[in-house]
Amino acid sequence: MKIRVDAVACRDPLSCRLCLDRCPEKVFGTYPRKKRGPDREARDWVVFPMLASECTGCRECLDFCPRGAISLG
Amino acid sequence: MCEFCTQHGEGEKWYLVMENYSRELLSQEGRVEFMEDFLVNFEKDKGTSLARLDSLRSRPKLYRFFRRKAEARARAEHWGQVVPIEEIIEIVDMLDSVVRMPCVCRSLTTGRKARYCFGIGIDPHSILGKYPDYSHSLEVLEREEAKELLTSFDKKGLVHSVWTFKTPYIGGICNCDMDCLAYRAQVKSGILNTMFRAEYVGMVDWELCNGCRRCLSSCQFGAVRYSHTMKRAAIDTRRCYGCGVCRAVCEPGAITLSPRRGFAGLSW
Ligand code: SF4
Ligand code: SF4
Ligand code: SF4
Repeated sequence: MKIRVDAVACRDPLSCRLCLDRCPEKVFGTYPRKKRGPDREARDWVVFPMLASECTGCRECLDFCPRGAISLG
Repeated sequence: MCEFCTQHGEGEKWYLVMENYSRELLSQEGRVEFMEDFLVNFEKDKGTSLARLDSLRSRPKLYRFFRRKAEARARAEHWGQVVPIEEIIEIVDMLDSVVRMPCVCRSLTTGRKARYCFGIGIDPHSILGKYPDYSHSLEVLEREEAKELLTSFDKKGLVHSVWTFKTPYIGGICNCDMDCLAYRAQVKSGILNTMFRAEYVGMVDWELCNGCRRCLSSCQFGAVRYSHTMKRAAIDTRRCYGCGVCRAVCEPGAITLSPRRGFAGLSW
């Protein structure tokens, strides 16, 4: 399954986390876009499909993502 | 014995050998810098490389090639083994202190900061002190405090494991549930191995088992079966990781761990 997460639509995933919590196959992961540096906190996290091959195509993420950021192809 | 016991333990359990925790070893081969980079960039580095390997799953030849490569690298750099609570306590008894820190796996898989991990030999003020989002949640624990906390994690059903930073140096003790990246990669999806099972497997004594089935839900590896006919639980030794956490929920004390090497058909 080709899974896309639109990083513009999905703003601030760390305060939402619905995809991380609710995908039954635990497909998603999240990381700070920039490498951490000594002088700043890690901001700007993005959600990405980490284990897309585990996706069963249940399509639940299309419903529970409040920003419609996830698309399946 | 797992192959690390032969290579790094002189035939003893490698994670009970004091040298593998020594400051001398930590100071060699750029380990301190390796740990720093590993911990602060874990989510992006490990998350994206697992996603890349996963994307090759539909192309078996390429996938096998890159999986082997990734596993060889993991063995050399960061490999784990499940260890039951008694031996985790033995390990902590060999150390002066440990540093409680946020779990990088749960950060990647859940987006949460959960302090279930322990660093060994890490000076929180030097190597990680530069990263304010990381360092404010580091806490030095004295031996007894650490042992109490680890025992409470065991009661909650968290699986303990030790992890190398440039093998054989052991720099971390983890307490995991299904949000552990090694669990997701090795157990849930089976795409990449990064740890050995414990030196043990669980066995149920049917004279003592009362058929309550608590152990079924405590096992994260789906290794416990229930026989409706016999009204008893049984452990599938091929699935069992030997973590021993099922023992904590068994009131009659029916479950014990036996040495894995006593089973000719089992591997690590
Ligand atoms: S379709 Fe279902 S299994 Fe696939 S990513 Fe969405 S929620 Fe997860
Ligand atoms: S059956 Fe094995 S893997 Fe499952 S909890 Fe017990 S010791 Fe751990
Ligand atoms: S927890 Fe103990 S008594 Fe209950 S089913 Fe499992 S082995 Fe039997």
